[in-house]
Amino acid sequence: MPHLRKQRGKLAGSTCRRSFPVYLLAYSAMSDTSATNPAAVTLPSAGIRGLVSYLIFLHFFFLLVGIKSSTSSSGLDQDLRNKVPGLRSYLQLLGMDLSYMFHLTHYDGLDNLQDTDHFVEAEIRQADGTTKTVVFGQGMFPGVRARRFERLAFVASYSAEIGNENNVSLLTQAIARRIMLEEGTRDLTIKLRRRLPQNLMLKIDTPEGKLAHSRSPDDPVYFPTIYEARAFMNEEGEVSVAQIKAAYDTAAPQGTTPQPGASPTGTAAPPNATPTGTAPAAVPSATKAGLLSGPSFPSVPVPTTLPTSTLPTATPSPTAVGTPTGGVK
Amino acid sequence: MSTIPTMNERGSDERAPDNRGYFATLFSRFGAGWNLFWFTPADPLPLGVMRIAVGLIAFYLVATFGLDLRRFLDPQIGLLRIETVQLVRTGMRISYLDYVTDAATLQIVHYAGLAILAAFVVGFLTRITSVLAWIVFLSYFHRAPMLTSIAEPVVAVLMMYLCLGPCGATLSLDARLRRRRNPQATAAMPTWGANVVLRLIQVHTVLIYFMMFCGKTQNNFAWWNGTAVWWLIAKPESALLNLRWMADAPYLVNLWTSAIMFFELAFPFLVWNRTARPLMLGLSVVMWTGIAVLTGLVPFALAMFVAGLSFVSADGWRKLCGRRG
Repeated sequence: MPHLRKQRGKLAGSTCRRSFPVYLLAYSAMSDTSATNPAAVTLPSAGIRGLVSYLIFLHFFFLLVGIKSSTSSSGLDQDLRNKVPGLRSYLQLLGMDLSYMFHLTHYDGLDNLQDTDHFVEAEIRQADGTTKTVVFGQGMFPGVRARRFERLAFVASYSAEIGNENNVSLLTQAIARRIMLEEGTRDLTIKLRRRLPQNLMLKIDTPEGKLAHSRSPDDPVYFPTIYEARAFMNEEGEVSVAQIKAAYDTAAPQGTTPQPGASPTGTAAPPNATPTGTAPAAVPSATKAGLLSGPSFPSVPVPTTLPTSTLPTATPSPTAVGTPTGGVK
Repeated sequence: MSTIPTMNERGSDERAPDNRGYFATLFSRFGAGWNLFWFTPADPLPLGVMRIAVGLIAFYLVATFGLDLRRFLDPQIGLLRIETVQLVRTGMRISYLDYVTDAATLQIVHYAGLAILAAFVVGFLTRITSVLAWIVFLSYFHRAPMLTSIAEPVVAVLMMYLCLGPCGATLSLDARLRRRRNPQATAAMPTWGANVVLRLIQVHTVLIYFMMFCGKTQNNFAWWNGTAVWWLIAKPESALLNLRWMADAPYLVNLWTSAIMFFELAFPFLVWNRTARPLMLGLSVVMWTGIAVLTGLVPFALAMFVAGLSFVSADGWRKLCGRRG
């Protein structure tokens, strides 16, 4: 398109006399996305241009306020977000109520590592006394399916971390209920666990680096439990969860603490924290958070051969001991 | 209808003594630039390409929901029954899936949604199916926000913009049927509507790139000290390839981390430059392939790459496809 090049040349020659935004806009307009001669093309009427320009301005104003208010706590941003009519609903309905700060991984240098993988683990006591461990959603293909289970575990774990007991109890209750249906059981222990990555970037000649390099990526130290609860289903199919452990601790990414063999999952659950009865009503009030009953669920079919009268007594998780080493934002 | 002033007209305007005030001149020229930027008619071919690419990603995301549909969304035995979800999710979220009350209806609605998305991809009744496909996609997004990753918001935004423009004017069943009905019909003409949509996508895309860069610089030690790529490699459940051998090549990790940061900073600015644009788009292939391998976020990487394709002109697509006209 020689005419475009010629015009761009003229435009470029006059850059010193033009303000930069004008130059940028005009230069972009001359780009090859337009397949027409700009000297000959027609514009829509002034009324249409005005209306469309107004809508474009409004759209990007809402979008920028949404982005800004998602990333800052300034009074102006928050007031704009909450008080401009329709702004919040517009962004939420269109799926644009986010900051777009996709950092993929976040580590602030103070043992606070975000964007780690999470998963839900269920321990089911079998009739023969053994324990079956189920990782919910394991072995999913394609990857986007596994990602959904990981995301669900993350949302529940994050709710536990920020102390949103309502969300964490509702989500663990829902997950536990589904696992019970799939596994044909009426009670289980559900754990929200995080998988910490191994920091092999540390130099091996430092104590921390030596420790990190000596470990396997599957070392239990890299699997802190963020939340743990016992879940029960009664005869009516209603599921209740009793929290065993909500405090969480995480191993330092550098591999400094805790020591190999020690569990990073925080304080042990008290032996009396796990109910010994067969129904939610039997859960003792000794649990720290008590019984976290969610909304009443309709009855669901459950196999009748469950060993409902042989619930295990309280057994502190073997990973439920260790030294708190830091926190995650 | 008015015409865009020619460069000669604007050039003489530049040379003429300007008796107007500074702000009057500024607003006048900014207005002219604004009109050129948003309202210069553009060939709808890039929108057709984007419709197919975005539609395929959306189809994939919704279709994979089908494999776990009852597990997650069954009104009776699903994990995320509406009674639970309504207590957890926040904000204004509307989904037709909220009103499904039995498993059979859920299956029917799911397959109907897939059919609409397929019609959008092939460009059948595109003016209608583009809006319906967007509603279908948003319904899954709003029904279970706790299952969505960072890909869905990007795809949702692209679908919204595509609804606004003539994305079915080319590379579509509609165009083929139109030509069959009327063999004399000419190819799709450039329209200002196509340009507005392309510009909306372009501006939103560079905004996302810029915010991604900001996210990496905001109190984020891993990106500053060059180890971020390692933290991604060390997530065995996420990474597509086992790259743990890179622990022995820390400079490579540092380089890769810095390259991602520089690319995300450079793209929003240099992609507007005609000379740098092919380089930026070429680098985006490498960069998003790498990020997909590192994070396993393939739909997200694809969506971001496709968003960047809004900068490829119609002529560019014709050259790439080796045909003219």
